[in-house]
Amino acid sequence: MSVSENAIDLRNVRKCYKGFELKNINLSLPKGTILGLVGENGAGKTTIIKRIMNVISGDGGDICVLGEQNDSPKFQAVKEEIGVVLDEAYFPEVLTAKQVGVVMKHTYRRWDGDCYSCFLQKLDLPPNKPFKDYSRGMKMKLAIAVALSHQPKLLLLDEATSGLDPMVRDEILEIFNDFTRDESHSILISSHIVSDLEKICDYIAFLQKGELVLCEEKDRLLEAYGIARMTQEELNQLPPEAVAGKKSNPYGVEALVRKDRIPASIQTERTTLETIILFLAKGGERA
Amino acid sequence: MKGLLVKDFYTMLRQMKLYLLFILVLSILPNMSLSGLAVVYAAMLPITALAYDERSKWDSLAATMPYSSTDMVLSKYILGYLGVAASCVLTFLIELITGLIKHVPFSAEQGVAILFVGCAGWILLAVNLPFMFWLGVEKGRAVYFVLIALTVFLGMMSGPQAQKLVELSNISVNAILGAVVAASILMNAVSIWISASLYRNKPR
Repeated sequence: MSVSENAIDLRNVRKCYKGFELKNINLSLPKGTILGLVGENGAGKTTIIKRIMNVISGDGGDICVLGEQNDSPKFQAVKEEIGVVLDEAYFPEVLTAKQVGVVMKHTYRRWDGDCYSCFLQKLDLPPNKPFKDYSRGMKMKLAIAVALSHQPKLLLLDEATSGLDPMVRDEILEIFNDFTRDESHSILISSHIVSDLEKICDYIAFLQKGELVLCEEKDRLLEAYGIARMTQEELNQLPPEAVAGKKSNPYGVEALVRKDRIPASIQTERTTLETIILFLAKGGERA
Repeated sequence: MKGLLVKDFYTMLRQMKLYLLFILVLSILPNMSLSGLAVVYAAMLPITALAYDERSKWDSLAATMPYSSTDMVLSKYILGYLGVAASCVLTFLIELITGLIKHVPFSAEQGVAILFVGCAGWILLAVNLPFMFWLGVEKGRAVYFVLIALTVFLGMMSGPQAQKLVELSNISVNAILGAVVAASILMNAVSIWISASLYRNKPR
């Protein structure tokens, strides 16, 4: 896929902290799609989002966002086209949603006040209540409303749905889905709630301890893996590369297997993204 | 950058009301150096704004918006400049009104004194703000109070001698005022450059 067809391109991106290293990340987000970043706490998801926005400096690699290198002076203008929701909404606590709207009107050239008011109404956010009196869910909803109200082409969402109740989460995910109906719009979303990602993502990237373990089209991933239940002896006869993870119990072994690498005689069950991620995270250690 | 100033305005609205009350109370007290206190208070506005930013981690969010490091730094300087300028205008108006009430006309000396104090406020901002961006609000505020104490101490120690020296040297007050204005502009230009460099390299 050529660079121009991607909203984000990460090439050999590295970032070193004391006790943590983001190792040579290569990742692309095709335009018009949603990429979900999954990983445990401290896996590097937030670091990747901060590197993409050039909020933190890097220790190597190239990042291209909406056709512009993120360390070039032109990237400042590209930020107009990016809506960001961080793990918490960092608005000054004395501001009301209405005042946040005024601040953003003077921040983004393409700020759409009507669109913002609609989101406030839709997400049930009181416009004149100080931010400090909002619940965590309301704070995140406000951050999402702001991110969507300046006609962005790209959304970067870091745990944007955490702290929201299932009904609101569903509503928000629907908004994200609507956003990518325009094929020039793309979303990079990190979340612990894998079921949310399964609902909306086209691609899934799994990070573990700063390394990109996999980046695959979601449907291909779900198609490629299956759950097989068998005895330990049967498992031992499978080629090692066919088994992505296993879980032993008193009745046998439950294994995540690559369907194309096992004999056709072995029956597999359809699996979920959450199960795949759990098995991959624990690997063979999960006994 | 206008957005940043609007944000600071909303954040500081309560402080500004308190500030107005403070100035009005001071203006009715006899023998108070109104302009000096007003400017010291106004020069603290950027510190308070930075404290709010620090508490809400606004910088992390603003870094994802179309703001440069220079915008972030410059907005705090502008807030300080506006605060000091507003203090000078307010002091002028209060002294004018109290003069009218007491049937004492507003003198040119009073006007020059307000301008001197205004410049001193700008110099205070120029010296203090790099410390705020370098050390953070808590330590930066301590530096601010040390600077104030030092200025008052030096003023008390050398004030009369300086006044005598000016009288003997035949240098006009206007020339001194011009030099102070030039010094405050130069110091602020250097200060903004230092603050922007410090802010850019701040770990996030």
